[in-house]
Amino acid sequence: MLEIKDLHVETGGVPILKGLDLTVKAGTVHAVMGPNGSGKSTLSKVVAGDPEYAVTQGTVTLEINGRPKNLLDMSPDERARAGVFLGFQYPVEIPGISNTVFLRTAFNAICKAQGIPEMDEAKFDALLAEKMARIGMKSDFAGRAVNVDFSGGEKKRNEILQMAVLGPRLAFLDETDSGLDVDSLRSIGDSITRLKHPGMALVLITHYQRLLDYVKPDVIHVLVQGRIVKSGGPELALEIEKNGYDRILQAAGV
Amino acid sequence: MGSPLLDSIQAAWSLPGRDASGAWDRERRTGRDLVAARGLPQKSEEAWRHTSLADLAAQSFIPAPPQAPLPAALVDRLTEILDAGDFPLVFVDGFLHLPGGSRALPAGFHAKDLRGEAILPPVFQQAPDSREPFEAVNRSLCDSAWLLTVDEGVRLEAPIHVVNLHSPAAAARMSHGRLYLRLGRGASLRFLSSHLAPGAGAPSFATHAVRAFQDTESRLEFLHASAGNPGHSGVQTISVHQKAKSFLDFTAVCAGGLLSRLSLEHLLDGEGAEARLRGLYPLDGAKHNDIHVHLRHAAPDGKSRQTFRGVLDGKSRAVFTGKVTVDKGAHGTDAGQSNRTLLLSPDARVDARPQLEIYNDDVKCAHGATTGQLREEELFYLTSRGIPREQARALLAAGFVEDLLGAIPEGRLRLHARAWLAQHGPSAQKA
Repeated sequence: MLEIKDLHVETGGVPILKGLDLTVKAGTVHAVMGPNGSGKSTLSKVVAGDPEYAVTQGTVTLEINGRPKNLLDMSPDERARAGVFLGFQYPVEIPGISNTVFLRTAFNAICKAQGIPEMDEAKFDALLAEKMARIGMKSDFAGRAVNVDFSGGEKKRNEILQMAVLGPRLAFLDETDSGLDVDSLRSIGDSITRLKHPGMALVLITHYQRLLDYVKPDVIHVLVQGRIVKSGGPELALEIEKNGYDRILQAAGV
Repeated sequence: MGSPLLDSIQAAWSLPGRDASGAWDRERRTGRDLVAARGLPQKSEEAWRHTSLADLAAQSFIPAPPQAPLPAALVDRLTEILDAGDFPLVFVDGFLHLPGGSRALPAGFHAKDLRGEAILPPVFQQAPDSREPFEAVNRSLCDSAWLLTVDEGVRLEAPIHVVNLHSPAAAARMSHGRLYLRLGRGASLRFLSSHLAPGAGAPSFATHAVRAFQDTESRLEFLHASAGNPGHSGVQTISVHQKAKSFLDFTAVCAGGLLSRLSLEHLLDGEGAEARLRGLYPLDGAKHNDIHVHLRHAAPDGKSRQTFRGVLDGKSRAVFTGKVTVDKGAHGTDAGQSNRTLLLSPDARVDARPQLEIYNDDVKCAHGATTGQLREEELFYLTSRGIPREQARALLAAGFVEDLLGAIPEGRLRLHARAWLAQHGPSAQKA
């Protein structure tokens, strides 16, 4: 579904990704791990189209309606309407716009692009209420301004709510587990697992094994200095948890 | 310095048929003396440095005559503006208009024509005269002047809504309405003041002044809403004099005009008085709006909060001047002011100037003014969810406005502010 080849990216003139390759198939869960500053967040932001990052080389291809399309030619909103989703590490506060208005606007933009009739306010309110109940968010979050005065955990939960409402085909979740207590982690992990389906690919960006206890990965990648230096099964995450990155770095010669 | 505008004002002073009597006449005479002494503001005056009076001063106006019956177009406007729960006081071109006979005034509330009053209540002489030159012009020419009173201890539930309409037929006409508002000890009032000059944009000019006095422990919730057509120049002055432990919650929603100026003069003149001021100026096209605030803490333990925001598109132009003075004896003052303007277009311009004058050590004062564009980070967040960039921009601008409107505590005032901007604000906010 997603194929990234030889991706080189820089921000503010500083190279971050230096020839990254990654292939993700529909219905699979991948985890990208790696030390701080290795380029994990950059990878997710480039896939979503953050204008802060400049792609200097390589391709990012997503299969859309059975045909490969170069994501790099598309604007962030076009990518989202084609089914790409980024769960932000630091969700942005939007004063004055309620969660409901924000999500209804986004939902209807996607409907419009897909030629589906847009949803009226009453129907959307019902849909949102149902999704919120499933994710375990209190109903008053619907009327509150997007992420304003939300706790760290509430912001992360709000990202998962957005994923639940917008129903992406390819989701990158950037450190969704950071700043969560054990109970929130379990609850958010379970919510993510319930949102998985065979037509969807999920890429988890994380430092720790702990999220992977709740969202079982198929493939683990280790990202170091802008390149994926090792890929493997779920046991790789356990090994990192136990021994850190040193051995992998030595073995990979970096 | 002579100008066609000043000539018009002076000519109007000597028009026949305007009977002179009592308190009203004395006010007009005082106004004339002030105008004769000060004239119209010059560009060199700091308070008028960024708002050019050249176009307005070059025009001649004659006083608008009373209109009866009301033109159908204005009746429609009134229906839009008024809510069934409002108690309306409608002024057309400065004159009180009584649609379908007058309703009985709410108990404890009085409205009196100053023409019938021998004297103006002395409380209105306690505060210094306004520094706004057009306030003096208004005083010298006021077509009508009304005194509104809420009796001691009376808490009015129904909002009093003063609507000031400038009739579209009144091209090259000017009007000058004036109100005195007095809240007795412990009284409370919700007050809406709407100013509208509808029409295609023939030149017209209106001044309006409100002088309010809030006695001890009174509470005033005040919404000022204004909008002028592209040919309309409107200058409004609101002075509020607050005594001990009184509370004011004030919001201005200014949709601009050819020239639009709102002067706010606040005097916190009793221990523990509190004023919360907020203002919005969303503009597009070639609209102009100038808000000039002077808030003075003259007594101990006062608290003031000011939040003013603008959203400027097209070639619009805004001026914001916010001055806070803390007098020597005003210990324990807590004053805060913030001004933020969002520029949506490279051709829009704002001149913002916060000023603090503190003659006291024991005070907490914070102020700041920022001007900027939409944040790329916020735009990316919205677009990353599938919202097209232009729609995301409009949504963020609307959110910037709504963030302030949502803070208006009183429901009717909040709804009126939203409806006003939906009706008269820039098209970006209509979405």
